Amino acid sequence: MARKSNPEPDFDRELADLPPELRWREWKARVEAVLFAAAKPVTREALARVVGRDCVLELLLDDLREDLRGRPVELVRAGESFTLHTRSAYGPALRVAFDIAADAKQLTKLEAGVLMAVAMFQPVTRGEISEMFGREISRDLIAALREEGVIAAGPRSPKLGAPYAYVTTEKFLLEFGFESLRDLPDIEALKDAGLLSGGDPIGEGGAGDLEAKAIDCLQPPEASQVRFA
Amino acid sequence: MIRVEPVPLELPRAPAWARPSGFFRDHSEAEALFFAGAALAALDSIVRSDPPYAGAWRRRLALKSAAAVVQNLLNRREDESALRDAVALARPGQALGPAGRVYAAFRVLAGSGDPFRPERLFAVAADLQAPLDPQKAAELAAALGEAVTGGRPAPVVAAAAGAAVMALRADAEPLSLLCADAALARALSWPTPLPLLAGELFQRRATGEGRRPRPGEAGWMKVVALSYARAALAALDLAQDLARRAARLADAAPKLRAKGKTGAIEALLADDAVSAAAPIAGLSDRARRRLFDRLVSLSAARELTGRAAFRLYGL
Repeated sequence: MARKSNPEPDFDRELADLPPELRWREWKARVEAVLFAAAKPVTREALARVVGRDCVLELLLDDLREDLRGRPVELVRAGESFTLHTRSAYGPALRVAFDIAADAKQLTKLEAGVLMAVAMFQPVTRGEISEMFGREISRDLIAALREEGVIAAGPRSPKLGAPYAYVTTEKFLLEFGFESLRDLPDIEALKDAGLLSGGDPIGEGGAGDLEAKAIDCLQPPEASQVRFA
Repeated sequence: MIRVEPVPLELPRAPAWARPSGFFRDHSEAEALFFAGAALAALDSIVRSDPPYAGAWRRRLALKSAAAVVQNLLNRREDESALRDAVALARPGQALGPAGRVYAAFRVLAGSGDPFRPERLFAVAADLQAPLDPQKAAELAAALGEAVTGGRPAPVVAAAAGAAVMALRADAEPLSLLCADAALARALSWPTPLPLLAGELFQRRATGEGRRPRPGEAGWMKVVALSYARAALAALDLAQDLARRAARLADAAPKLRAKGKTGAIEALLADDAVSAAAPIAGLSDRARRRLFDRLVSLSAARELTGRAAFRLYGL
């Protein structure tokens, strides 16, 4: 296998000819530039490539975080990756600039779980979702999801009381970067992973797992501060 | 008094030798094509005679195909009755849910109009969870139009159309089965397509053990031909059954006294299932329910769900 060619053969990682303070500043500037330019969170390995071998990345990132104090952006860590986010105080300004509705908000864990359940088992009624989760799913939660436009009332279920069965909308697909519902994780695959058990849709203690799985799956395509623009 | 006894229309039957006896591996491609030809020839005369129950027949075939696609290709659990509920109970403009949309797509296929129009392919592809952009849909329409010209035998044309869809988009197998049916109808110059292929393709005996050949792979032609042979025979059996039921409905018609009975009878002949809640001209809500109850008691119609509420009636 041919090795990937180095894009910048003259790139000086170590900066051995600079005095220590200047070298440290230069490394910090490089890390900041990389984080600024990246659309997605940047992994530790990628950042380590632009600084010297003996540089302690943790200290450098702490230093950078200190530098950003008082600025409108902050350094955020997501797992083993890092990214720059605008501070929440500037949310209104961004919403005004990009014309985003004021009540745009993040999904709670339970909302994400319910949304996932609707996506996988649609059309599904509130009663059926409540059974899956083993707890009452409130009308308010369903209403909140409907308000966001990610689910809609589908056909009425032919049962006592004719409850509405809910389905996901086109907006749901757009919002989470799915092309079609086939991009959702397979029910078979989830079963193999032990998240679902045979008989009922979500087995004993499975609801929590489903919520966790939902959080994983329902990440919007690029990490943005404001969901549901 | 001279009474004219109506001559009962003898529906064409496929000869017994047209029934493929063995499994996928027992027949060669030529044998499979022979069976398909024999069965489709028998089916052809029914399609052309355009019987009064044609609407119910087409829709029921659409239901069978849609259920097979939903369960085998889209990994969902909805069976035929769930699909029937989704479409029959939905109000106009209401979202049907993914499985209901598949059934709706097959109903569109079995309806009138040119199935290869790009706008229609675009809408149907979205229903089948393999969305195409408008430009791709136009490309597909051109490719399908090319596949049906040339005067080759119908099952060969259908197999080629299925493969053409898969060449354009590799995960569009539901769409490819639907386009194969449309191409078959075009090659046989039927006025409207019949959904046939998907209903039999996933049967164990159609493919035997091992992996089912996907559209365009080796063995695809043979599995398409065998599936059409079996599907055409099944459609013939269904037509026989529906002809009997339609005759019973016609017998019961003079016993009904409701004013709007013609509308109700037409609705039963035109669709797989009629909701007791769906409006019919000339019948009030209560009159409609009573009329359907009366038809069931005369065994001229069936209640399809077994539920006490949200009843659906059909032949």
